[in-house]
Amino acid sequence: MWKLWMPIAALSLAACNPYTRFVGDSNAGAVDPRNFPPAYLGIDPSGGPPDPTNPGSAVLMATPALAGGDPVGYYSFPFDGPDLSLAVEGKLIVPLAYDFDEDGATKCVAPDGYLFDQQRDAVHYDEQGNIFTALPDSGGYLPVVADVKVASNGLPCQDVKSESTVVERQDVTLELVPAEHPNQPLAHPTGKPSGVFYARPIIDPSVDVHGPDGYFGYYTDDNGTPQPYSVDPNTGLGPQKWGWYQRYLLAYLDGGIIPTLTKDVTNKEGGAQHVVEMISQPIYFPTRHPGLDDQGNSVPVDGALGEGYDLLTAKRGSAMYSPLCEVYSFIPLDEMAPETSVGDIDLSTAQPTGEFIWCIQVQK
Amino acid sequence: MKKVLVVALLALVPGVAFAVGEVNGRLKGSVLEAQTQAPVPGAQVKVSGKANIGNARIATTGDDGSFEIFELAPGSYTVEVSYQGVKPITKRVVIRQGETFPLEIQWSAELAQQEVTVVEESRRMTRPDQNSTGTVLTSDQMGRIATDRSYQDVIQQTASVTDVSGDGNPQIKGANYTQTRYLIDGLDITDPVTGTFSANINFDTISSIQVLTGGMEAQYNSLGGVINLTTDGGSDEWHVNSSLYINNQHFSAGNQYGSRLYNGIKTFDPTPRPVTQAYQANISVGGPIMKHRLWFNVSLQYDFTEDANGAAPPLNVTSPPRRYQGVNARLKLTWQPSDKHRVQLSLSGDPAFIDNENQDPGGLPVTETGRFQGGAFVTLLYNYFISDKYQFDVQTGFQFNRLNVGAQGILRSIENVPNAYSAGANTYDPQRAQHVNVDDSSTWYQGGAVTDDKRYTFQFDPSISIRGKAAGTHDAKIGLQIRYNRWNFTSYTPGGSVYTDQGAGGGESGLCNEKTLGSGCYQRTDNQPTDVWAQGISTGLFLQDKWQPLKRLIIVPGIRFDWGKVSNNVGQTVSNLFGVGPRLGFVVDITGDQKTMFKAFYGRSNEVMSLLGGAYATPGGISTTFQYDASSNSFQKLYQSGGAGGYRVDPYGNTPHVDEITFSLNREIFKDSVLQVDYTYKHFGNMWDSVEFNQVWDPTGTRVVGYKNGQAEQVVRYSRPDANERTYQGIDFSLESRPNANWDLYAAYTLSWLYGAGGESFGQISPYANQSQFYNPRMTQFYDGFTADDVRHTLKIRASYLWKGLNVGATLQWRTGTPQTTRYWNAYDGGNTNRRSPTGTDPGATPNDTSEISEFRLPDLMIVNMRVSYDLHKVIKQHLLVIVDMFNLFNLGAVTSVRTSDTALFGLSTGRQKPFQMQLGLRYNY
Repeated sequence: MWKLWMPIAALSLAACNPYTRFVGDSNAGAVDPRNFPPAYLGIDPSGGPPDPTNPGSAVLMATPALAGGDPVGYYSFPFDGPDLSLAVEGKLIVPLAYDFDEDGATKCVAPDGYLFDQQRDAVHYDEQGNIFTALPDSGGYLPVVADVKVASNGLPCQDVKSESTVVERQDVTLELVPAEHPNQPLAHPTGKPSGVFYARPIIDPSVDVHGPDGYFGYYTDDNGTPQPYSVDPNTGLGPQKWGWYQRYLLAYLDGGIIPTLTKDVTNKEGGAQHVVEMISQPIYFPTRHPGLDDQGNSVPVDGALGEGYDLLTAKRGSAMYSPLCEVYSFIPLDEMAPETSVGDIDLSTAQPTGEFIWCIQVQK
Repeated sequence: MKKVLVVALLALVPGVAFAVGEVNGRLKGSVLEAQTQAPVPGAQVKVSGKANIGNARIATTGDDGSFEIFELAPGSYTVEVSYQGVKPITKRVVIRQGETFPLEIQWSAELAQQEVTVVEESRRMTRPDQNSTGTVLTSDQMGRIATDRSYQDVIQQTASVTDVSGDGNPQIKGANYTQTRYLIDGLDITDPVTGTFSANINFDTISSIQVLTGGMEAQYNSLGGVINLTTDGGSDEWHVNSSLYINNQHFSAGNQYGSRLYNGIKTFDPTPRPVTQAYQANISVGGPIMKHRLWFNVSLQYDFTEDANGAAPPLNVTSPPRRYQGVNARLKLTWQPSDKHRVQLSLSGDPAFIDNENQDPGGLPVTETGRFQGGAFVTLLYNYFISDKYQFDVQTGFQFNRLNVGAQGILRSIENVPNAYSAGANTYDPQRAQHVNVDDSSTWYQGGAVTDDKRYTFQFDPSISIRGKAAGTHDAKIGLQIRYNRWNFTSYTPGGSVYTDQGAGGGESGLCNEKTLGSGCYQRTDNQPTDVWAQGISTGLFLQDKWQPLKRLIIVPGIRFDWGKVSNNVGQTVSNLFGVGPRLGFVVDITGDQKTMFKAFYGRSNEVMSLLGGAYATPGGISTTFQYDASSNSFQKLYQSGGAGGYRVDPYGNTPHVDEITFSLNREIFKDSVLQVDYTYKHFGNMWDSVEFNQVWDPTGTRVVGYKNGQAEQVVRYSRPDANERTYQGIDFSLESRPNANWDLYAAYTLSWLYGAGGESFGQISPYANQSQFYNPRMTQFYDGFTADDVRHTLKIRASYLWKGLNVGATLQWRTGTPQTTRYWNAYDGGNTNRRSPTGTDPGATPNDTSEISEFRLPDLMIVNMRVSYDLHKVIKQHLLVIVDMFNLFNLGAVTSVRTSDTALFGLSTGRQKPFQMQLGLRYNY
């Protein structure tokens, strides 16, 4: 009897994998932000602290500022400085990120006849999301990644969602570096950094991100007044982008390339070190600006960073742009009408506060 | 209001039409010359017994010595084989429902010269002419073990029949509990909407239960199994059967356990034990109105039950007991005006009231639910024995059921708990809105929506049986099965609204103030009343044969064609489905003595009429959900659901179905003892579900960022998606033995896997609405894996020994726990409707690491029950039985449900198996 039954049972049970949707590099759902630093969770609209176990309830707003007299917005995150190093003696101290088809010469392969349907699709299946290798779930998070360039070579779009898979795929082209400790379990080669660093803060993927005013254009209200869109009227989403971390879907803000310099410094032991450091741009805020007194009268009040009068040295796209800002205060000539451009500031009044912040400007 | 409807129908699923029930058995055999094994043609076979109304049944052996007698009511019979001029040979056989007793008589002149001897013939428990798997439980077997005296409970002694949800609706071989069909005396009493049992009957009137778990012939159309009951119909002798059962908390242990999985009994807890008591009284009288021609059986059963959950978090208040009061009344008439005609008519009713049904540790008595349920049904069976070759049967009936459920304070009356929480919280106001505090899962001020649900069923099943010979013997049947169902439904929400409060802490102090708003306010849902109906008609045509071309081979081909249509109160066709169900079975007698049988089967069943689909696809009242806006201190509209625009229908194609392959091998190892191994593969496809297609979720599935039609509303399509499927694979090892009148043994071990991306219909397995894979597309990948009703290992043992009136019977059921899924907060839904790992898993303590995902199951469950009874007949010359039943003999307290939401209460138990209970009974048989 057993001779008859066991092969039948074994044959049938061999096909008994219950997880047909959750195998390989399948979508493991959105990143759980419960260990993210508060700054990357947005703010609770009711004024309370953001609660990562209550996803979808927080908002992330761009701080209004001016650059060269033009309104801009930046996303502010704390910088734990003062160490600006990104690599020491050629060894990265920031994680890798795999950037797909950045040069535009190649593109992943979309399903036949594919048209994006936002109701159906969490992500675009005619694009390949970038792959990250670390999350902001540990202390001292630095929202910087070292770029690894990947070219699709027949890769079905969104087919890879983790580093361990992308380095083994044959339908992509990338340069690899052997595993540092190949004998360790799950060791695999890694991508070779291109030498470019990006500011890409990973945020709570469920946070309601609002772009700077007018980022998504303007509409005319019932009174005929132009009103800015802060979220895309077509998608209901802000300017965040979507990538992957070990099969989990993550959201990030693309702060662009971080300018760097390479220099030799002396380490603690007195030896020389070859270091790659970030270059920041100055951000200024007036020590006094217009405000309201207790009676509601417009009067000058003490100023601080992020109160709408910040002046950035460079806009995104300009040669001077950096997503890392060194904070300065300045004394405005007219407290009720502070300067609107760095060029107008009396720089002799500017004082460094000793702080750095991430001042992420996003680009369309 | 659609939400109300959804909640009301949460546990519901479609009623498949059709299942002709076999209420009788048959005798089939041959008379052979003992020395030469030559057939003995022309011998007369006469069958008589107490269960047989009318004259004795007579057949004459054919040229090959064979004979067959059909439609014998279950019971003990005397078979007399006689040949002209010689003394007859007499045998005694026991006929069981739906089974054929194979009787081979070795004839010799010498034997016929001897004095008449009566020998009890052993039956072939290998069921040598049947493909189907399952068993038959007789009233004698049921009377020897402790059960809760319901057919739903007794059948769980069968392999692959398990009440996973614990609500009395067992599941069979991977089908969900709404796919089991229940027949009483041939009438399909399966609820046309819920798919569950819809009628209770007096337990003492059940004469036998046929439990079909698979391999069914074409006359059956069930995605799950079939529970086929026959009831007592009287006899030529007068019988009175009366009993009284008492079950009181003084005979029972308390059920005060800690709330954590590993907690045991709370030794130092002074809280009084909750009430646990049940009383049942029965009387059943049967006898002849006209001897041999007209019999009757009338019965009445009264039940009173009280039980309560002990105080538990978050409110730590002992609820007033759940109280059930019900009457089961039944009358059955059996009339045989001539040898060619037989009519059975039965009437049943089962009205019942239930108080304080929720027993929610998060609610005070004012939030309780009350219920009236019950109905009546009438069945008529007509057999026309045209000749040995032809038989015409009609099974017809009508059933009405009503389910009136809702706020206890409106339907019944509130029993307050003194000094518990504020006077306001304990004062019932029928116009007050319900508040749900999600911070601690507590409910306040009001019970649920009041629903009134009426269901009507009419069934008409004519069939013709044809027996003959052509390249072997044939036993064919062709039949038509017509069923009409109607569902009327009204509902309203007391107070008009339900508040979902959050953020201000647990308890009453964390609730939203309806006037001033502010702290604690989160969402409010306004529900319009609903008044809808749906109806369906279905027709099935089946043809089946039992062809025996060789002595050792029976081939069972069959096919059925089913069509069904459902429409609603606004004239929409909700479904118009057609299905073809081929069947093919083989029964091979390996050793030629009917002691070792190999069986193989393939079959498809289709569900062409789902009144549940119709019930959903009706334009109920609109539910509008508002979100609290702190900046304006007001509620702003978030979305709406329900109403005429809240759904679409998808009437054609994708008929729900199941494909089944079964292999079975059994061997009679000694007298009346059989060892069996069954392997079953079943694939359930295209089950019904609601597919939401208007909400546009953000990529994480936690925020709705738009609507396809531009309107803030949920719109669902009631459909049968390909992705709604599940697969079952199971191996049953069973031993059934009744070697003598003293012993009755049954043991079964089942190893099974149940998995699938969908796995359910309309969310009835998941205990929450909006938990289907078709609600939030961002969650779809998590609807994968072992389904919520997967049980890996099940062991069942039933054993009883009867000696000189003393009976000791015990049952054991052990099964591994069912999968649970950790659920996460969804701000838009205002509930824990999201997932971060597949069905049946927890994502682990370290977020964002798939290697941390682990199985999440309830603990194993073991239930041991025991009955000791003694018949005082030897003492008082009357059959008076003293009965002691012990349930949960070892007072085990395994957790049967836990909180699965990602809150501070995660993992705490919300239910445990009932503690040790003892029941005393007295039964008098005349």
